[in-house]
Amino acid sequence: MKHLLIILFAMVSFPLAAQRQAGNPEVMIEEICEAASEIHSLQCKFRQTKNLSLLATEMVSTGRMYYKEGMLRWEYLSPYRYIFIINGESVLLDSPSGSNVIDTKTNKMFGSIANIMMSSLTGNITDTEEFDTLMLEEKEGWIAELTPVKKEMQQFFTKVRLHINPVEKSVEKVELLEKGGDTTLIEMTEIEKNVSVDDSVFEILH
Amino acid sequence: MTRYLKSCTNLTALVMLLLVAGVQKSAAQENVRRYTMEISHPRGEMSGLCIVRKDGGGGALSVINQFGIKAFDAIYDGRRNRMKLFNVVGPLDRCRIKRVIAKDLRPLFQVSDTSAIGITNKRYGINYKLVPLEDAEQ
Repeated sequence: MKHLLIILFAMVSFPLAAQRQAGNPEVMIEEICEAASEIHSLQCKFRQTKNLSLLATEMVSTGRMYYKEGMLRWEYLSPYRYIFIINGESVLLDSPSGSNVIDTKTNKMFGSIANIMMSSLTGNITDTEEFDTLMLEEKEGWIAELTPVKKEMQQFFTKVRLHINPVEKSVEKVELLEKGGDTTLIEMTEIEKNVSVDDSVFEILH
Repeated sequence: MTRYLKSCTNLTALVMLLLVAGVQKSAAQENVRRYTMEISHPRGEMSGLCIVRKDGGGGALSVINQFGIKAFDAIYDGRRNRMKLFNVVGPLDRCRIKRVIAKDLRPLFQVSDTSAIGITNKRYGINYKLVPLEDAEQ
């Protein structure tokens, strides 16, 4: 019995030891934010894997992302077409069945979603209005664990984990954790920083 | 000779096991259907994705938005023809709404083909449109 308890304890402790709280989180956050401030534009491909625990299956989708000076275009290409654009105080949701333009001044929740998305993708993690930040270190790199502060956001996800390349100080993966146990992993590849991105990519036609 | 035969038997058993596991996995994936989903009602419209798994006479489904954020999960009991929602996102987490959706989406477990599905709730003016997704990478 005593040996069983020791073995169980070791099994629980080992995965916890794989991620540990960062020794100097303020320095890490400063370095990440400094790198984020140097990003004026960004484009990449992404692969989104939604784990559906109840159905024991996954939903995989792919697309492209463009960012430029506070504007964002998030476009799903497969297996469905869907476009999400943030441009100033307007958010566009566009699908084959129609479009919807939302004013974030009047719809605060969308404003929060837009802020969190922008912050997550660029690595600007000092927005204490939207989330609390915990820095973790693991073998593969750094993790910024963001916990939503606002109740409206907490109903959608419990935590956002940004997996950060410790050399480039840039976000390579975003992990969304939900209260039901499901997770969404977004992996960014072919990341190009500070390249020319045409403004028309972010155009919202009212 | 005996040892050789025993090795062959073990190897054959292993190959059979892997083949059966492969077939089971394929069958499990065949029971899963993925759809784009649009819901229109008098107060507005919403769109997302609906993933349905059928198991025997029952099954389960998840409705998520395009970003993967969950709207709700549901389990369908084929014997009693009843569906129950859970893990429901805040704005939808009202008894009446859950009851209506649970009743409206039962036909998803009763259709056997893979074409588009349209469901109408005339009483509340709610229309559901589900179009199958081609599984490129699932």
